[in-house]
Amino acid sequence: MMPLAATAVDLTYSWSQALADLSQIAPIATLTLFLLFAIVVDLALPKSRRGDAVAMVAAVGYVLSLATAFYRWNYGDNGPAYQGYATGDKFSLFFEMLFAVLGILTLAVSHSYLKRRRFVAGEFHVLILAAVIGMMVLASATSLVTAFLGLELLSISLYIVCGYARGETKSQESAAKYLLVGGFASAFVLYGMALVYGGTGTTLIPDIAKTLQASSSSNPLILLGIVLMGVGFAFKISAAPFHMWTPDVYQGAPIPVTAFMSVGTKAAGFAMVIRIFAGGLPHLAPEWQVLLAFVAATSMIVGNLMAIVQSSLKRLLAYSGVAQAGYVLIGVIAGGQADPAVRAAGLASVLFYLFVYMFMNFGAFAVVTALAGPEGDRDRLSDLEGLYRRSPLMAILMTVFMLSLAGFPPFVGFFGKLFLFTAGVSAGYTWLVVVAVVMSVVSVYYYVRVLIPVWSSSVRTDKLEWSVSSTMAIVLSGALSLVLGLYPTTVLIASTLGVPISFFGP
Amino acid sequence: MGLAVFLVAAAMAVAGGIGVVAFHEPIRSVLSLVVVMLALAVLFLLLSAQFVFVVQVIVYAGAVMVLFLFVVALLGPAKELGRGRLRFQPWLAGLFAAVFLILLWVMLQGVQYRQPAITDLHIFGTVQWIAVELFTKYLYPFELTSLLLLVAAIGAIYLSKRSIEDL
Repeated sequence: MMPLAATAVDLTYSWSQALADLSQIAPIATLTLFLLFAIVVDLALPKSRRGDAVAMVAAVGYVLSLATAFYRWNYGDNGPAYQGYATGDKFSLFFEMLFAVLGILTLAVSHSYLKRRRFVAGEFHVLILAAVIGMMVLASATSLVTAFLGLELLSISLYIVCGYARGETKSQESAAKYLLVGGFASAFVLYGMALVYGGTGTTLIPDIAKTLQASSSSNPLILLGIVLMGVGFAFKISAAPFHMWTPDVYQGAPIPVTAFMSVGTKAAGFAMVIRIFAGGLPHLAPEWQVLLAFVAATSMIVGNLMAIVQSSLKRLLAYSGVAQAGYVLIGVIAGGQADPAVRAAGLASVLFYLFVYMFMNFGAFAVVTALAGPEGDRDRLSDLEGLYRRSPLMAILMTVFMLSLAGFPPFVGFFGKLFLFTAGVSAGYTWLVVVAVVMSVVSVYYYVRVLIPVWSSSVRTDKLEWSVSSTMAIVLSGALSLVLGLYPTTVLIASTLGVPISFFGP
Repeated sequence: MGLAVFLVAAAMAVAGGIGVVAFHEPIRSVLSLVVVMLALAVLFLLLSAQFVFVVQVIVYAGAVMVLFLFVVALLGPAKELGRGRLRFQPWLAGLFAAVFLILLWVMLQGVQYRQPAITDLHIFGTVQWIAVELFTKYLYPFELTSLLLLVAAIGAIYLSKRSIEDL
């Protein structure tokens, strides 16, 4: 055994370095601080005041995190941190802003929902905070290790909130199913990552790209790794044929959770797919493009056809989410092309679509959330009957969300699809875009079918209770679905800026 | 010598793994898992990771497996029911496994294995080295892991409380 003096390693991690690293992940750090604070508040205050106080702490945390990300987007010098394990580049800042906004929306909608269903509020907000942190970590990860940790942080928080309605068998079933399938998918991702690490000798994504560039021949280890990671990612973004868990989990989970995860996990999953596939494995693009093209085509076909026969709104929106994942994958596929212009257009269209998808999909779920009574969620199509009498504003907004999801101009969903499909055509995947357009036409049927009970005359005249916060969240989502459709430029520019420069180089 | 140890340990790990899924009595599955853990520990030692070896033996083969045994002992010597299988399931499973193995074999023919990076084996794998790596190079993943465990603990408390009023 060597004496200790000989084994001393020089510690070069200084305070200034630590601060610089911390400022790169400032939005995540802020939110983590508020998470810990929320736990203490939940413990310290008397029971009657806990829920509101924790919600307040979470709200301040989201807003500060959003402000930090916005500040860094404009003024920060963005670069790698923590020995290349994380980064504060514009790509991660774009997603961090997206997730902070999603956190605010979820908080606004869930606050009154939790009260109505008499759930304990403290843990709920803490767990959603943790899930948002996980998503941010995932978006800012530049190492396979960090990406996996972010994925697990997000998934574990969601497993728990899916089973938050403890008295309900459906909620428990949803949590158990999600846990089993999610663990299965994580194992796939981890195995794939291990093989890529074995083939390249590094977990840092930029270094993986460099190593693969140097060795021109394709190594079967890495190809196998791509396939396994691709399968795991497809599970996470709920793309067919790995989508079977989605409807059951979405249906069983409390609606604010469904709304949160339908948007959040999808955006986080796509951030990871772009980082790893487009950022780390651009030299093997033909391999993963084939894989993703197959997944995209199946998702669009299966998702849209299955959505037609659903009578539960949650299940319908779950299948619609499967189909939407297929559309977004077209952009990712275009993001693997060698031509920098096509690449940038493809990735920017993905970022744009994920951002606007948040508002339209979350808004639709938020309207359903408000229908829930003390005894449970009401998500049958018939529960929407006569909504235009019971609440004209909500009827109009629901119409906006549905038409936007279906892709009608002038709503923002139309432009999102337009950008995705244009990128797909310029990348040479015309057959995929043809499938997408045909399936979009099919999707109009079931989106409009939701609107029939909304505008039908009905004997139901019971007034619905709309809390101020959730009404504001829904109105905001609706307004943005319309306004962003009329002026899509701002977000489009942001999406284009969000595509990191490093993705363009060889 | 190293190769021989590796082959024996790897064979034991695979055999143990098969045992975990093949046995019907939970207690045998648990004991097979102990075999897997110990065989893996030997593999870690072969990779010069002494610390991981010790942790593997103490934490996994020791503490975690004792917990498993406790649970099995508490629930009684229940037997897994072999119902709910399709008639052709074993044959189909065997067929698919064989096809997958052949595919894997064909695919792995062209693998270029990397040479391991030369490290100073005097400090590699020691507690001190791991600590230095954890708190400098892997600081961020390390802190993330602590957050992950915190969230898991909160979730476990919420889900396992007998009534919601206790919270």
